Amino acid sequence: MLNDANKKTLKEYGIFMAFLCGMLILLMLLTFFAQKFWVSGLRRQVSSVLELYEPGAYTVTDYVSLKTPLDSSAASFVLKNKNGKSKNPVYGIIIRIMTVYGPMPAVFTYDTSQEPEFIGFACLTQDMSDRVKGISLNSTIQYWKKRIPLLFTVAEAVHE
Amino acid sequence: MNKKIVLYASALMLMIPVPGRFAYGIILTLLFNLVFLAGTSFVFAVRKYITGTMQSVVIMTFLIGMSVFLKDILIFIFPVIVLQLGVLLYFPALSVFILTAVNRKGSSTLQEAISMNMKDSGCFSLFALIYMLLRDIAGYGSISFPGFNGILAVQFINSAKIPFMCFLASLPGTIISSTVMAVLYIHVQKMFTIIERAGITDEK
Repeated sequence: MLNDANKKTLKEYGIFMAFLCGMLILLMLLTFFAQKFWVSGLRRQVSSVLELYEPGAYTVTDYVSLKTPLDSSAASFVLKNKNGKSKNPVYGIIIRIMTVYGPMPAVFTYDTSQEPEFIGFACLTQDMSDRVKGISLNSTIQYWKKRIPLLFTVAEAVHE
Repeated sequence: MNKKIVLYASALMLMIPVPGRFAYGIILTLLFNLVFLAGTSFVFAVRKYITGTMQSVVIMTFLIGMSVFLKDILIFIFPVIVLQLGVLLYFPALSVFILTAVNRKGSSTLQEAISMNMKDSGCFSLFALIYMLLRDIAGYGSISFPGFNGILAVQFINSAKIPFMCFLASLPGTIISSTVMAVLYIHVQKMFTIIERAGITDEK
């Protein structure tokens, strides 16, 4: 038998569960629609950093899904080498790395036959980017240089 | 606990781990105010139906959900800022929870509740924005704003060439300078209290 206290508790839990389900559905839909903007915005950033530090060297093409939880703090793209130097696939990665100046969006290129190369930081002037690079080169940048090849072992290219 | 101290401490808690650009200050302050406004309205709406411990659980769930919702909305406009700030975008929800925990007064109408809570939110936002503006000027020699392609900055000093400015732009520099400013503020406030008390004694 349900007494008044149990009825009240059940009603509260019912409201909470309905609210939770509604919120989850809304958030999943929104995340799904935001994905396209996430990819195109970060592609623009990778492209502008590459143009600043290595003008005319690469064209940013397909998005590569990393298939790890890091997908929410990084994005990678297939790069087309305009000089045609490398026969291996080359990737451009933008990833949040922690520096002494706070979290920064760092851009790397990764030729699968070599170690990843750090290019520069987005959202910073070239002078400031070089300053942050100088401080982080032997710590976080070095860490991500070793980590990036591991991310690509499960990566999957998404052709748009 | 002194409400003013909680207000400023939660503003600093939100702003210190963030890179010292005014643009990020604007984004986080905006998020904070939206979460605060939505949180206040939500508390008012659910308090009739859910009471006791369950109410805190529902409010916290709502604040987290609201943060994720606003983060997704931000992806549409500033994807690189969302990538850069990452989990820091959830900090406004924490600050809102701390502030509402301090400020749980009963109010009869939604309008009254909003005007009461938004007064605190206004002080918080003003302090946070001035703090981030000073950090941007002192550390990066610029004033920056959020832009569709990263951040838009009006650069007036090349801070990368000045080591002291670079130090102020770094997180350790921010912590040290904020501590020095807080100590100075407390010292000046104490001096004023002494002068005020001396004045009262003279009158007697």
